[in-house]
Amino acid sequence: MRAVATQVDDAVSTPVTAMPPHRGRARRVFFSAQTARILAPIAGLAAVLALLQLAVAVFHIPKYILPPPSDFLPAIVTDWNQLWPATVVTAEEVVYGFLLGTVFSIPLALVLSSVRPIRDTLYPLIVFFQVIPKIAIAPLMIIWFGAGKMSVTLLTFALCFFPILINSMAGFSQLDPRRLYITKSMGASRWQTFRYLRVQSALPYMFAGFRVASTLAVTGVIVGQFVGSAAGLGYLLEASTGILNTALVFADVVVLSILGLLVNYVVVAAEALCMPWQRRKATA
Amino acid sequence: MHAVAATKGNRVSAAKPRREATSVPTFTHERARDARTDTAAPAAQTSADGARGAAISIRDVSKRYARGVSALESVSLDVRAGEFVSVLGPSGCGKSTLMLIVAGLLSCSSGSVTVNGETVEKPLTDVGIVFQDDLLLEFRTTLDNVALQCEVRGMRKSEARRKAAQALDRMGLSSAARRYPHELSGGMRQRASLARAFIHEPSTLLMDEPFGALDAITRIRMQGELERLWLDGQRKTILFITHGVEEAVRLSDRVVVLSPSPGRIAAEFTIDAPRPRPIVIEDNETLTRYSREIYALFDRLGVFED
Ligand SMILES: Nc1ncnc2c1ncn2[C@@H]1O[C@H](COP(=O)(O)OP(=O)(O)OP(=O)(O)O)[C@@H](O)[C@H]1O
Ligand SMILES: [Mg+2]
Repeated sequence: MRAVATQVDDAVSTPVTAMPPHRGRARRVFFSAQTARILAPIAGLAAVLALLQLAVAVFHIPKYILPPPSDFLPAIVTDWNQLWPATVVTAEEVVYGFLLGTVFSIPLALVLSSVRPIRDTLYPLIVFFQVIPKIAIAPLMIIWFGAGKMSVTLLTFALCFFPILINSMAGFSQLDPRRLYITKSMGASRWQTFRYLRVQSALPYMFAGFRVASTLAVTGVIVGQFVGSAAGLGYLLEASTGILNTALVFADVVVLSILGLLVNYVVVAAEALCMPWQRRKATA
Repeated sequence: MHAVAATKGNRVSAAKPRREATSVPTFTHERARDARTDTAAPAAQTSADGARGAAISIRDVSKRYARGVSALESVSLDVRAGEFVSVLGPSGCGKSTLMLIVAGLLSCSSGSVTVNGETVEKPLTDVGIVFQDDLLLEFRTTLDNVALQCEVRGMRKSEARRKAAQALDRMGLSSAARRYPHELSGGMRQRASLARAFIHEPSTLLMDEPFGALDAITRIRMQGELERLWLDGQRKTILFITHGVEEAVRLSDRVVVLSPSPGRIAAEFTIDAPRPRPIVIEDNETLTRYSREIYALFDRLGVFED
């Protein structure tokens, strides 16, 4: 009995004590690679800005056509009181649209992939709606919901919905039948099979959908604001174009890009968090 | 002399009544007689009616896959409770198919299987299965892959993990517990799937080339370990699938040889030798003779030609 007990302790403690040095080494390597990965694009960006500055000077391009970086970069600071509220509104609409898309599409994907009659009924319809260019329904949103946050968010939702739905469906239905051997021979219930096998198997597909949806979300919000909103970076873009404040247009685009990068980063970070096994695969 | 003795026990034709195959001890020379004083002897005794005492009873099982691929043809086989039976055959002869049918994971086209008295109609759960490709879940650590077996069966997660850690330790895998399957070597993955198959202490083991991906040294070690486990504990019924002649001879009470595709039973050999058996069968004349005999049968079956 005692022998068994010590064996248990050994078994449990060995991996714990064995891990820290290994993990420490891995982290140090990870950091230097990370630093390089961050520095490289910054250097590239700086080079492009320098070239732009040079080109404007050499070819005498008027400022209202192409402002040099020395003009539009300071505009980010001077026009911050306009840019910041616009950014907040835009970010909100992106997040709401994306979350709405997720909340509706994943349960629907689950139902569609597991209930045959429902799939047969609804899938053709979904395919039909998917091929409609969603941007084209932006004016309809304005008619139905009026200009403002609601219609922008709903347009974004419409854009995010389909990629997540289609990918999640693929994820839920694309399961190697041999994997079911494992759970079947354990006597797993339907719920257990879902919880221990189907969800994780579908995650990579879902995240493929999230990635597509996250870029579409930003596009959707901008277009929505163009068409029917008095707030946000998309609106500001249009407004400053109207008064030929090209420096502000450029500053707006820069802020938008940063927002897009952030959104993308959040998705990537969530992916690493939800699928730790994939992260290790990538760094290996 | 031994050739005559060997054919007596073999069932070269599947048409012969099966009773004969299991009831006649194969060798009659001194070495074999020594063997019968050993504890493994009960495995050599059979009732005349093979089906009744059988833990696994396979009756005229045929399997035809979609597109008309015939994988098995009228296979009948009884495995007694506590018996170690190997199914041996060339690649593609239907060994894995047979195991999946016994496990209730695949349906047969005709015939029937009973395990521990019950007709197999849905997946068996009181079995430990080692699949040919380890089938570990890539999103669970090695520890959690093994613990899953207990978790699904209703054990608390912490308890399941503790037990899994113990099982991994026995397999020499405690250092790999927190790694993901893709971070393990092929042999380590296979050992993890062995741990998963044993952890719930099933009465029956179905093992499909469990040592196939192991290096020669680990394989021999694991064979010894398996034999020891089987001899020590309450003897489990083992259906062991392999294409290794030496492995089958070294481990089994009985070796069933399948013909090339579609699989049919070509012969059965009752391996009458004392246990524990030597690490390499070359050290034992009886075992060597069985292996030579099986190779000769393979030759006759045309396994080695193109
Ligand atoms: N899912 C399947 N669909 C169609 N044919 C299959 C399927 N699985 C196996 N087969 C065929 O059935 C036959 C037997 O396959 P099986 O996997 O049982 O062979 P095996 O004896 O286990 O071979 P190996 O030693 O290479 O593992 C083969 O001809 C194979 O091509
Ligand atoms: Mg096989």
